[in-house]
Amino acid sequence: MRERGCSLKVLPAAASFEDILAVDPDGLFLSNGPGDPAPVDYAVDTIRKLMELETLPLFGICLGHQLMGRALGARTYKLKFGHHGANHPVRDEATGRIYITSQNHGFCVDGDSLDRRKVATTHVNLYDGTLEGIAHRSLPFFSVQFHPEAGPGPHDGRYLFDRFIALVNRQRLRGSTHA
Amino acid sequence: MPKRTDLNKILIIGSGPIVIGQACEFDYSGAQACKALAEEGYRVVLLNSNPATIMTDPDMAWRTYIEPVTVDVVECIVEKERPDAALATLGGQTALNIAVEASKRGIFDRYGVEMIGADLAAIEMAEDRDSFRTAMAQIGLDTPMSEAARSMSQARDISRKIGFPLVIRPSFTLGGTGGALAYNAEEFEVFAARGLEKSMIGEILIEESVLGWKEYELEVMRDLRDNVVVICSIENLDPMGVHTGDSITVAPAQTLTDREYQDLRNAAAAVIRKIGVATGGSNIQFAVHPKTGRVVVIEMNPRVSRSSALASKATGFPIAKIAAKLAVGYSLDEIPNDITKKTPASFEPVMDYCVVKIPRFAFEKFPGSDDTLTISMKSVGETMAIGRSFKEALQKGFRGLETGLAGFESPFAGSGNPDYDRIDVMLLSRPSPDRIFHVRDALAAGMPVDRASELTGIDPWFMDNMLEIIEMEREIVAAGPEGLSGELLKRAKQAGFSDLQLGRLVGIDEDAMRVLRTKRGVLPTYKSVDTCAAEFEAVTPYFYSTWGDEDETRPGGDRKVMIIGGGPNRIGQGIEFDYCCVQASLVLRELGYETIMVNSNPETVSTDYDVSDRLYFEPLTLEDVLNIIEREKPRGVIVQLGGQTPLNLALDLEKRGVTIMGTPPSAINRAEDRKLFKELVDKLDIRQPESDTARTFEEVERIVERIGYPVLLRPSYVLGGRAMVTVWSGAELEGFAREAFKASLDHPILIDKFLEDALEIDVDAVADGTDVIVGGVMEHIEHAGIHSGDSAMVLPAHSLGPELVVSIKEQTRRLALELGVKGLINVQYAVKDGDIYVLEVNPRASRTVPFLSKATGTPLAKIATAVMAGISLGEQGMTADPACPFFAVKESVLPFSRFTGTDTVLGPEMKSTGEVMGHDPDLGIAFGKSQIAAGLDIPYGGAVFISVKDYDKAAVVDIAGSFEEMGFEILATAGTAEVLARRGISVTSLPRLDGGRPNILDYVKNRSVALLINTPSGPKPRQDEVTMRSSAADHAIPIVTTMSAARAMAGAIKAMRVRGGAFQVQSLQELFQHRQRGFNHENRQK
Repeated sequence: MRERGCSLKVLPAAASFEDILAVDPDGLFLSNGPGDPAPVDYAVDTIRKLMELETLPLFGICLGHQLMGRALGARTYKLKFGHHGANHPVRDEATGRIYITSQNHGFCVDGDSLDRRKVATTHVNLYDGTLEGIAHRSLPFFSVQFHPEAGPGPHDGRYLFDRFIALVNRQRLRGSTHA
Repeated sequence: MPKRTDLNKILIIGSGPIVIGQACEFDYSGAQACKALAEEGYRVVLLNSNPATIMTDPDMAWRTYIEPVTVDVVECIVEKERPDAALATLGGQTALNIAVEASKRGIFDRYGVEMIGADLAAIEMAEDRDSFRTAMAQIGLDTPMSEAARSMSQARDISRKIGFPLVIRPSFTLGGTGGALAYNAEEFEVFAARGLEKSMIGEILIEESVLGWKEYELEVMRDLRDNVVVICSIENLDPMGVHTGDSITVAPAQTLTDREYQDLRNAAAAVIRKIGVATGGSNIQFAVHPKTGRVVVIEMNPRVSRSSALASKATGFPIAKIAAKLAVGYSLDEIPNDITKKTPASFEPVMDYCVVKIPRFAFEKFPGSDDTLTISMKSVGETMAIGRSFKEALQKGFRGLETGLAGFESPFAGSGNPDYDRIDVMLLSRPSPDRIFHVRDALAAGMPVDRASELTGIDPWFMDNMLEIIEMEREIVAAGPEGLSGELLKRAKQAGFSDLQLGRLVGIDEDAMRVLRTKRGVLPTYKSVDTCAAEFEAVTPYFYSTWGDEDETRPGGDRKVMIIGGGPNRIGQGIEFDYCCVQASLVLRELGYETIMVNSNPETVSTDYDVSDRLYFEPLTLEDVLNIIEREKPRGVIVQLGGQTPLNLALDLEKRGVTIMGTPPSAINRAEDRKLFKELVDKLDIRQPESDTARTFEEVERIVERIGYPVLLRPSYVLGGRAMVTVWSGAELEGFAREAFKASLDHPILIDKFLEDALEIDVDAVADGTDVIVGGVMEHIEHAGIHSGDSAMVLPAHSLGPELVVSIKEQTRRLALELGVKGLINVQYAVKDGDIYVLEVNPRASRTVPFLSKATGTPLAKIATAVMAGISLGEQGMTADPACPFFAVKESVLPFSRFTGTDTVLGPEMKSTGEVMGHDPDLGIAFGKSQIAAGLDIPYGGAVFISVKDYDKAAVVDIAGSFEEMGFEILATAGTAEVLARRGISVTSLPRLDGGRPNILDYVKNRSVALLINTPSGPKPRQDEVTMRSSAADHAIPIVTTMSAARAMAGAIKAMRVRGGAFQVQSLQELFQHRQRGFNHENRQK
């Protein structure tokens, strides 16, 4: 994101709603992290509050994706075989394009538990059909299960950072006209 | 996207004969494409002139045309068959060039044929180096500085601009023919002129040299939805400057960081998208500067390539098959990965092992040629090895090369370990087949890795690994046989050491070493090549050995047969034997057996994982094969189909209790051992040229005195006539005898009376112990004395009377039954003055089996295999000898243009790399087609140059006469001219090369001569003859070096002229309509 001209401020996982707003961000990136998302309910609460603002663009990857899923009301579960490696094919459901991605996760967002009226499936893993990405249908939130930053791994997913920045810019434009 | 339903019939263009740079990897890719398209319900129309291929088996396509791969023939077939589409991306550069030409001539447009795979625009952008460079610049990728030239003056201007050293590459050729590196203006003149001539469009590219840069290749696939996946990365151990076909290569890339690799991956995806190869595989080459890291794109092949075949075998991902499916409209995610069945093909294979490919060379067959490795490919085959580490794979690769090495040993052993700074640095800086061994010696002598790396351009990481092998050797030597603990042995095995190699180090033999190792509990384990590093279960069993703790093989049932393949291709042992092995596997599976294939050659169809039930990609050494046998416990092993390689293992395997199927190994010995052979023919009352064996030169002299000159000298137990020579006088005897002793290793050399001007005959037959069927009696066009692998052959034998044919068949039957042959047998005869002499008996598959099978519509290798499985000829319904209802001519293809400076003359040592077949009801046309298929421009007029040795002068008169009658101008050297003039032929006499101008070289260079007829004066030809012949070869002017070939050529020209150069094409299915045979169900149950 820095390559794309963003200035970044990194906050700890336990940062509160107020801590985050104090930074006055144009967008919030939910990073990856280890393990099961279920016990990280404090973060889910914070995300849910941020979502209620309806104006702050959110982009989550890996654990960040799972937390976003939970904040949107979905369940998460442990995969029988976790995804590890730099060769997982993921299809972008909007375009049909396949991206080779880096993956390292043992848990997954349960697509069936999502409120389909609000949230769309954007990416699917072609190995086992599991959910790999979601986006809110009307609000500026989206997330992917794989690692678009890919270090190490293929750079195929980097377009998502462009998508996030476009979302941030659009939101800023909207914000300024509202003001 | 589902497959296209608007297509019905698809034309696949094959790659023609095996030549250097284009070998059986295209049979592998073409065969996969045929199968994949047939599986999808398309009707495949196939064109390929090479009868030795699996793809030209009539079962592989709906219509199979074994016809010359030329634009005219493509037009004939398109007109006749009206295909909807043409797929030219799986037949190498030949198919691509032909398709481009056909497309430009409007043939495809005229008949509404769509080019699928890659279209004309994409091919041209990738192949025309100027447009390629521009395209790369547009996507922000760097290429070496370069400019195209269409004339010498333009070329000189460019050379001044860029500066030396310079690379000169002709546009539109295959395997880098004519490509060269010039260090100075003098070399530049020569190479640029040659390049302009070799290019199909008279254009060369002059490039900044990236000599010494690191070289990488990425195998990329793209579908119609613009999805791109990288199948494999390959790193060349030898840096830029050596053709990738001549480099030792390693997969996956070993010395890149993830970031560097991802940069290449991104660049590769950008390249394939820019060039616009919409569906299929491409190979993209990069050079990376070792210090600055600057990356340049070298080239892109908009087609499946040699490296794709290697990548397929290295990863288990069938690139050609998937490419064919993408070409008919599927996207990657719609095609399942064969290996896992459950996951899609839209992924990138992962390797949890290391693969090393090592090329095999044949410089010893081309005396006088320079063995420096350049950007023009010269190797004739390759072996691939798989191991858990680079060290293990490298050592397995060297023993898989079958050149006598048991691992990464130095063939120069015994020279001691000199002080490293006394080592000739040229041996390290000049790339050659032996450089890797000099590197080894230098490292062993203490040369620092950095210094060796600087001299060779080989990455220090590889050097470190080589050094570790050397250090481990020292540890083993120090330990001695008693000190070899289980722990040390296991480490050694994991570093790739073979039992033979370990035994050599500690001074015990291979068997003792095997016993010791087994006692220490160090045993091999097998791992699978599964595309996914065991992430998913592999359905397809494709294995390699290593020395781990866990074995991934599953034992299977008990009806198992093992087939040992032919190993790396070499001159004399190539695709023909792979054809036989594949046929065997197919028929055994039909008969209800599980088949186990063992081979080490990545180019082959036999190492396609769906040809057999289990594939072991292993070196074909006694140890490696025995290990698999111990693991699999097959009922029997087939050794008679893979050429000399498995045959050499037969006795050793039998001695260790392995069941050899078919002909017993003792028969091999009886046929090879001259003394036993003599007893055999005497017993059967069959005539043989006088012969004897010798172990010393004194014995040779005594024998020659007895039987008289000329004699034929040859080593025993070699294939392809290695070091075989006709000796005409005492002056030459000692030198040639010495060569023969050297090639014969421990065995005696053979001396035969040479039958001058005898007609040579080749026969292949199948026997079951009671009955024999003779597949065909083939007549050589060249007389005895030319190796059967280099000679053109005609079926049926047209100049033998029916009685002689009957007696030849009869003798063959007696030989087969007496030897107890169960399976194939090949016999070579000479016929002189109505007498039949047996020259050689080989109780095994021969090079001519596929040709005969295609020409008679009879699958001889399958029939032989069924015999080995216990089904008699009678039970198979084979009661009569098959017939060839037309004339079929097999012509050999020679690699002389690769070996500048070598003589182009044929002799008892085989030199050809491949073959083609021409067929027609008329013999002249059949021969003519074979010549066109072999790449010759048949001259219909112009000048013929004739210069023959005294012996041939009488015979040449008729030939010259028929050329004169056809309106050719006759040129001749003084001696020949005199004879011709005396017989009333009008002839222009040319001076000898040193006797004035213009001489024949001027005619050759000006292309004002259309054909050369020149018979060599003796086994050690005069220098001026060699100059003339090699110059003709360089200028692609046809040259015939035997009287019989000249006669056949005259006949062909005459026959072709009558029809204005046009000829009919016919598919095998039309020729053999009534002969679609298979095995019936009763036999299957046996």
